Amino acid sequence: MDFADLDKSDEQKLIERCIKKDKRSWDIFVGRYSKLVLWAIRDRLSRFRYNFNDDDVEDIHQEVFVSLWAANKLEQVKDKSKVAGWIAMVAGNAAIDYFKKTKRQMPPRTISIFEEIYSSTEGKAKTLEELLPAHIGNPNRELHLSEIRIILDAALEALTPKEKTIITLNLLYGRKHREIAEILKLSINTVSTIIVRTKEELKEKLRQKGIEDF
Amino acid sequence: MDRVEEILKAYMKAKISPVRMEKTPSCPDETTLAAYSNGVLSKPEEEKIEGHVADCYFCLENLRTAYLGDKLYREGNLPDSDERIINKAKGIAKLKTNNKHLKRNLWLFGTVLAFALSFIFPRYFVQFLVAALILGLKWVFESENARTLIMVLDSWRRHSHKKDEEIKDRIKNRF
Repeated sequence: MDFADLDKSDEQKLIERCIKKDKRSWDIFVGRYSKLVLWAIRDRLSRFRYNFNDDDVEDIHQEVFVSLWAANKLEQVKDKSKVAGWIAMVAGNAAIDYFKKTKRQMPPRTISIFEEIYSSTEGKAKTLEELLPAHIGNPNRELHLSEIRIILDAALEALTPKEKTIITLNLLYGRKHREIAEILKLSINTVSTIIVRTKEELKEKLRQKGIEDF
Repeated sequence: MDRVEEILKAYMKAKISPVRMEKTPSCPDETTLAAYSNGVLSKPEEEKIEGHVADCYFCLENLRTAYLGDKLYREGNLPDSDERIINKAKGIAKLKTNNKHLKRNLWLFGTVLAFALSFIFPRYFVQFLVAALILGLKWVFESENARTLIMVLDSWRRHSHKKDEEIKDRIKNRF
């Protein structure tokens, strides 16, 4: 069955009936969201680079549905006509909690999930030091790097939280302008403008400091 | 990718590398993030979430999961699930649900009963009264408010900022 065309009231009624512990509705709910829960668990564990097997995934899948049914977690949902995103988050976080509790494995340092994006799209990303032209030797090299870091820091600090999130999603998550617009509920023009403007301002600041040959 | 983009990316990458992808006490829960993602929060609430998400990669990761999960679900593009796993999850409906209110009210019922019995059987007045007191205390300490109060007092006693955050988190999770 394809659930893409479900109308909102149908979805909302299903969730409300599950909260009231209607077993037939629960069966439909599980059938409808099981694939999503499995996807979210596998996605999160892969991105966080946990070593997992099918048994782990099955255990987490079961834990997620237990929390939804027995612990009445579905009651928390504010917009009951649109729960897919919420369920995906709950499943992803349950996967992390499972590994923390049962296997005593902590989540990774932030960088590891971004490295995965780099390696899949453009090979190993370069560091600031590697990007600096070879002809700039010591001690100028260190001076250059320190100046660049100050400029970049100031440029990022000057951004509003929303602008900073847009830049992060674009550069570190590799998300396209259209996708960022959908995630943050903005127009695609706003997203594109912010990205282009940030880069232009940065370019200008670097130029003003005489770091054009970076 | 142009030069400026490469520089900015390298710098952001270096800056965030020591950060652990972990939920902190100040992170909004999934419900709030989903409400943000669905655009149903008020403007001040929205701004609060935006301010947090700009510096929290764990929440950003959650937003990504919500966005992609919702998209794949709506498009019907999710990988297939095993029928056995689905049936196992359906079987959860046979489990008893957590009925905290009933459990808590049992202590209260016991207290009232023991108190009433102490008058019905005057010979065992003291014994029933002690039982009523014990059950009453149990009811008081099982209640959310009493536990919350204990946690707050505990926090003041320790005078530790970190502990305060942990306790705040525990209180938040309770609701």
